[in-house]
This record gives sequence, structure tokens and C-alpha cells, in this order.
Amino acid sequence: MTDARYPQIKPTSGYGDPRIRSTGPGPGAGGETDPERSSMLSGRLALVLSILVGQLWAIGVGLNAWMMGNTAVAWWAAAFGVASFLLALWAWRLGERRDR
Amino acid sequence: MTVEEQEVAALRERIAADSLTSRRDYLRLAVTMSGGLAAGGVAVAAGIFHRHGEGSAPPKLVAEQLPPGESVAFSYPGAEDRAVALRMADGTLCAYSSICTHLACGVLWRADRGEQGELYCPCHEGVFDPRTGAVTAGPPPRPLPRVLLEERDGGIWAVGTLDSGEEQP
Repeated sequence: MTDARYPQIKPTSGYGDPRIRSTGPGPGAGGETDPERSSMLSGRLALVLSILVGQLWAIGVGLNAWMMGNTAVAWWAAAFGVASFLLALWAWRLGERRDR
Repeated sequence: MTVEEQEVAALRERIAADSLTSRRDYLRLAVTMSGGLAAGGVAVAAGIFHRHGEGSAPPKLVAEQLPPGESVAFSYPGAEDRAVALRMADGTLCAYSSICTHLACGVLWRADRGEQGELYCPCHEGVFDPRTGAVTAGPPPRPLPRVLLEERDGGIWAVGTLDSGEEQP
């Protein structure tokens, strides 16, 4: 059969592959139940980076307010910063730890 | 393998490992930074930084006299709270903390700038109104804190301070 147009294709290729001894999925198949986890990880990273921008803004506002004597505003800014951190922490812990 | 070769091998491995930094590692770094900013915000609100020019002290003699257009540098209320007293051409006497609210450079009285003179920070071209301490140009985010003066007993005395942007009572 070496003079055939596609010599790499043997008569046993495909359904006739002699290495296949049984039908059905191979070992380990079916373990992936959420194939969108990679996109979710990218999304979580984008979310946390956005949170960082917000926190930088808040610490600037808080410092400015505190320097002008507006302690209440500074505490609100601090509370915003802590709440943002908790959100970032949640985004970090969410999802599988083996996702890279 | 000699010690030097081992060190080189360890360095190569570390450099190679850096390229394996994953999105999850970046996520962890970002969350760590977020925690640092949160702690920083709480520290700011709790008062970790000194407000320049704030505090109380007994009245302090600044100068015996101050001719129009002239200024004098002094410290009030603390030794680190640098301030400047000035008398404008129309006789108005005022004093401010001379620590710029932008990045804490020294603010100077420049009688030759502007229509009535300016308080000028040469570091980043910050300009403050000499009558109110308000920012009129440049990057400073807040007005200069005011030092309250009194003319009595043949001299000019610093008697108190106001916060940045606080109106005189």
C-alpha cells in the first residue's frame, strides 16, 4: 500500500485501530466538569486588579481627608479598603486551587 | 559538582521557575497588595501620620516687626512644624505652615510673583493664595494650614493653628 496517495493511513486506522481493546472513555476521562474554570481565573484576576485601582483611589481620598481633619471620611475610606480586600480575598479563594 | 556549580545550577533553576509564574500567583500577589492597602487605609484613619502644622503650644514671638512685602520663617507649634509669616503690600499679616501639602517641600513667599505675591513651592510649581492659603496652581491637593498671629506687646506672636482648609472662627 506504499504507493497509495496517503501512505500514513493504514487499513486499520480509525475504528480498525488494533490498539483499541475496549470501547468508551479512557482512564481519567470525565473528571473535567467545569471547562470554563480557566476563563474564570482570568476574570478573577481582572476583578482583583480593578479592586486594587479602587483601593489606591480610596487611600488617596482617605489620606487627603484625614490631613484636612475629616476623620470620619478617612474611616469611611478605610472601611471601603477593607471591604475591597475581603472581596479580593473571596475572589482568590473561589474556584479550584489547582487552577493555574 | 562543586559549590560554585551548585550555586549556578540553583540560580538557573530559580530563573527558569520565574517563567512559570501563573495567573494564580499573580492573583495571590494582587490580593496581598490589596491587604496591604486595606491595612494602610486603616492606619491612615487611625492617625499614623503627623498633620503638619497641627497642635497647640504657648504663644511664640515670631518677629518684632515685619515690613510690607517681607516674610519671616519660624517653627510653630512644634520644632518640626516649619511656618512662614508674611506681610503683604497692603499691610495684611498672615502665616501658614510652609510645608507643601503635595510632597512636603518648603513653601516660599515670593512677593515678585503674581499680582499680590504668592506662596510658591519650587519643587513642582505649586502656588498658594497668600490671603487664604488656598491652592491656585500646581499639584498640591490641599490648602496650607494657617497659623494664627496676633500683634501685641511690640511684636508678632503665633498663638494657634487651623487645619488645612479650616475657616478662621
